This record gives sequence, C-alpha cells and structure tokens, in this order.
Amino acid sequence: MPGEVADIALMTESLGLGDSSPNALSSLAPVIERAKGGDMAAFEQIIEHHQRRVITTAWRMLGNSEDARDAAQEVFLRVYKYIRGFRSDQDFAAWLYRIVINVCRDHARIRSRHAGLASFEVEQELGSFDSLASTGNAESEMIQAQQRAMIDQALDTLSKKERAAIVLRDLEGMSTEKVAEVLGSSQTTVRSQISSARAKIRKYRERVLKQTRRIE
Amino acid sequence: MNCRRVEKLMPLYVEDDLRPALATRIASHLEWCGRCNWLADDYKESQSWLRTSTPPEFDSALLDSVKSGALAQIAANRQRHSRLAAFAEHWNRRQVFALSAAALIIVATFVVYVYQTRLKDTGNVEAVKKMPDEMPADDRASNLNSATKAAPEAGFPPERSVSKRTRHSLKNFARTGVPNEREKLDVAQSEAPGPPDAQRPGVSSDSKDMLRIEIQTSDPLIRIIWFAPRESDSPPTKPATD
Repeated sequence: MPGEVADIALMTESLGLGDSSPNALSSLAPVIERAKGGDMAAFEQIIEHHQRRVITTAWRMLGNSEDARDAAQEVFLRVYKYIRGFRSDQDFAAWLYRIVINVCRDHARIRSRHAGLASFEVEQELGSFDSLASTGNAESEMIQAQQRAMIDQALDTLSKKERAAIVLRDLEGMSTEKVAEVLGSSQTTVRSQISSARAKIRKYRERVLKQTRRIE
Repeated sequence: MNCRRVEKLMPLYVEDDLRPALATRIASHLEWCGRCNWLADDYKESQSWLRTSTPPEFDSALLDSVKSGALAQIAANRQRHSRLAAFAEHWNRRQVFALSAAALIIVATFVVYVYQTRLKDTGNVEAVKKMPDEMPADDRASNLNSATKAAPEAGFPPERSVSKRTRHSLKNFARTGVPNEREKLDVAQSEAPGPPDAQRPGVSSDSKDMLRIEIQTSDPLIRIIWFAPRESDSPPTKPATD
C-alpha cells in the first residue's frame, strides 16, 4: 500500500498553524532572538505563548495528563537548552513540534518499559485534568473521559510514527507538508502513514461499535 | 477506477488529501457505487469520532505549574552547569570525540618521547660502566666525559644529536681501544699537549704528560678527543691509528 500511495501525486494544501501565521511569527521573532541571548524574561514569554499547545499535543500523544505535564516541562527544558542552535530562517512552530514529538516518544518508551496501568485507569486514579479544571457535572465528565479513553485506545493501536502523523495532521490541523517537516519525513511517507492510521482507527471504531451493539 | 483502488485511496479522499483530478475521479465513482459510498461515509464518521477527542480544559493553575516546573528545572540545571558542559555545548559529539582523540595522541607521543630519552640516557651510563679493566674506570670515564663536554665548546652539536652509528662506534672504541675500520675513523695523533686546565675542564693537572688523540667519526660533526698518558712505552689504551 505505501508503494501505491507513493505513486499518487497528491495535492498540497496549507491548513496553517495558529501560532505560525506570519504575523505571530514576526512578533515572536525578536523574543526568540532575546531568548537565544539568554534573556529569561523572553524565554518565559515563549513558554506562556506555547504551553497550552504543547500540553495539548503531549496529551494527545501520550493519552494521560500526568505524562503530558511532565513531557511539557521536559519540552521547555529542551527548548531552553537548544534554542541557541535555532536558526532565524527556521519555522519556530515546526521546530517546537519536533521537540514535542521527540519528548513524547521518549516518554512513551519509558512508559512501555514500566508497563504500568492502562491510560484510562491512570486517568481515573489520578483524577485527570478534569479534577484540575472541572467545569461541568460529574456525569458528562465521566462520559467525556470514557470517550477520550476509547480514542486513546484507538490511537494506541497505531505505531508511534503513525500516531504522531495522525495527531499532527488530523487533531492539530497541520498541513501534510508541515507534518513532513516536523517528523523529518517525506510527504509521501507521511501520507502513507496517515492513510494507514485512518484505516486502523476506522477498523477499531467498527469493532467497538459491534461489541456495544452485542451488549445492548 | 475500480472499487479496490477507490478503497485504498479512501482514507486520503475523505480529508481532501488527494490531488483534485484524482479526487474528481473518485467522486464520479461514488455517484454510482453504493458500496464505496457507504465506505466514504464510514470513514467520515470515523474521522468525526476521532475529533471528538477534545483535550480537557487546562486551567491557569496547571499552566502555571508547568511553567514554574520548567523554570525550576532550568534554574537547577544552570547551577550544575560546569565550564566543561558550557564548552561541550558548542561542540557536537563528533567534534568532541576528534578533540579527545587528538589530545590522547599528543599525550601518548609525549610519554613515548620521554620514555625513549630516559632509555638512551640509561644506555649511555651502562656503556661507561661496562668499560674494560685495561684502564682504570675513573680515567676512562673522565676522559670520555671530558671529550663529551668539550664537544659543545668546540662548536660540535650536543650529545643528543650523536647518531646511533656514531654512538656505537664510541662504545666500541671505549671498550676495545680500537676504532672500527668500517667507521673509517680518521684518527689523528697530536704531540701537542691539551689546553690549559682552566680552558679544558675534565683534564687532570698533569695533562702535560698526556697524549691527545682526536678521532673524526663518519659523522662530520662528531669528533672524539682522547687523552692518554704519555709514556715511552706504548700506552696500554693507545688506539690503533692509520
């Protein structure tokens, strides 16, 4: 299938990134330059500007809140460590996403080694982010948590590369070109991974629906 | 376009990831193929289901904890930041490896050089110790030393520049009292006594009674000067001359 997908000339589109729009980047460029020079205030600005997106992506990659929070801290630690090597002609958002994906892969590897509890159980035990940011009633939160757990299990059926590609393309809304840049792969490879991932998720959902119907 | 090919392209078609021409062909296929149409709808539902996974709301307390945690880790790392780490930050692994290897080679070369120098010095001392009993050991050593010490004064290079071959000849001569013919030593005897004691260190006060022998080695920069007691009889250590 990858070979077949490779034959296809696919359209390129630009969904764009919220933070990587020209205006956002041009306003952030001087801050990045100051941070490169060791200005901690500028670095704090970068954290404030990106932390929500970083935590969200980490949560989608890892599937639980505790790991996402640790991963986000690790991401900013690495940003601080390597920001001197960031070139001004690079896309900062893409560079940041690359760090997020790498950190999440490392965390996932550590987690798989320890083979702890299932993500849903972890969410329940830790109380999840829901307890930290509860706004609705308990029942709707429970349903949401179950839905998230199911989708996380669907994402768990994917390989790490497929998961990264589908999270960035379908959940973060990045263009295929940008995803390829972040993952350091060709666009053809990314499309192949996305295609495979969507097919697997559909099959997983189909299986879950069948089981639900049987129970009912 | 057949159903099998449409099925393979469907995951990309539902999210508009295909080239427009290809997407149009699939769309025209879907107009008459019910099965593929159902598949397209199923994929769209699956994608919608996937997107229902909205992340939880992150409140400011959580975001602040992430920020403060990251800054605390950075501060802790900065305290531990050694000069070596600061130096290493500007070098990648390959450069650090190359630099380490170069430093190791330089140190190893220096150690080998020092070891060999010491070995040579030890060899010279042993050569003097092994002189035969034909002449008192002190006299031989003093003569040898005086010749060696006098060499720089005469404009000759220091002892270290003596070639291995010359060194061998010197040892051989000291041991046997006869220069090696192969070395083609140009031995000259001089009736003239040596210079005054003040000018020639290492020569005893009775140098007037000494016979001065100069030996030119194959190395034009090396000349061996030998002082032997002047006697009517042939001296016991007089070397054979041309």
